[in-house]
Amino acid sequence: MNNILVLVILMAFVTYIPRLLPLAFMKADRLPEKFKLFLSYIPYAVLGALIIPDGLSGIPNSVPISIIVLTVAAIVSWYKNNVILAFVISVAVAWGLQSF
Amino acid sequence: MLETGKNNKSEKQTISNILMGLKDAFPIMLGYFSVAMAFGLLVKSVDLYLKDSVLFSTVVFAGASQFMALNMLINGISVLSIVTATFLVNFRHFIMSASLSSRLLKPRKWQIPFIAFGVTDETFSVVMAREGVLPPVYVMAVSFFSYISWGSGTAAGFLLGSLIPEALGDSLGMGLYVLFMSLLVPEIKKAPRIIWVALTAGILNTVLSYVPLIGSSWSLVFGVIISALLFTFVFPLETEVPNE
Repeated sequence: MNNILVLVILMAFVTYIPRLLPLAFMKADRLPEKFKLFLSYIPYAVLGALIIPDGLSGIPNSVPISIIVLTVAAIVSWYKNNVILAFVISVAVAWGLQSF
Repeated sequence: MLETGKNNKSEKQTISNILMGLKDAFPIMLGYFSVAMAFGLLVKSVDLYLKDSVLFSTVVFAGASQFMALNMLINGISVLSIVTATFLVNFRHFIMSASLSSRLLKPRKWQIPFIAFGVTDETFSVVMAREGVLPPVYVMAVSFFSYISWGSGTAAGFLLGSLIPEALGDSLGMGLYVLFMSLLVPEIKKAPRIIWVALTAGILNTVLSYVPLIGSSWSLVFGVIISALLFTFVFPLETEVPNE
């Protein structure tokens, strides 16, 4: 077995276990209400933490363009709840600004 | 007669769940394909083989940690260190799986390992933006299409180099952050105070990444947990969270 294969298998293992455990062992209907409330906030907190700070430099080496693009995405999504529309417009803006 | 009717109905349900999954996965697929191409290209540049690049993407299926691992590999860092770093970076999926499991609609035993394998930042964010309980087939479909795009993008990057002009590739990669924003904003519109949950997590993620021992591998996990705890116990939101 070569080194890469060993690395890939070990990486896969340590990546998979945290993904699996809660799904395999947590019983949603037996959780306390407060804990369910806590879990319901997780998606919004995750989105916030994904956008800040990494999204601010989502276009490599260009913080200003990244911020403009995120702002465009936010404005479009505020008026139209349509992920694909926001995606297309924002990516077009990103591409346009970079080619400029 | 009755039996067939019932089967037809559940079959239709399954197909509509799969189509809904494909639709929701579409922005992820575009973003993943271009980011995975960059990964495939990078693998080629460090003299590894096509099968190595595809192995990484199809067996590990975790974006940021694959780039990190490759980078560490180039710098001659030991396998054990790379694996430890991978664990730290990917531990955030634990909290996502926990949150997802509270919204899944009665998954069958055989579905759980597949659903778990498909949990990424992007698939998690997309499925959780749906309201109410989530049909397991829908969740699996979102992951499946994203996975196919990640794997095929890796192979395409290795074999064909940059098919996509660099500026467009970067823009599509940026598209993943656009996706996050377009999932978050409608929720804020429904329940404005959600913005504080997201902002707190983002700011904590930024600040904590500079704290020794936490660093950028743990900052997201801590930022998310602390923010969710604060709003559960210290500043309970007056309005119900829409998904609850």
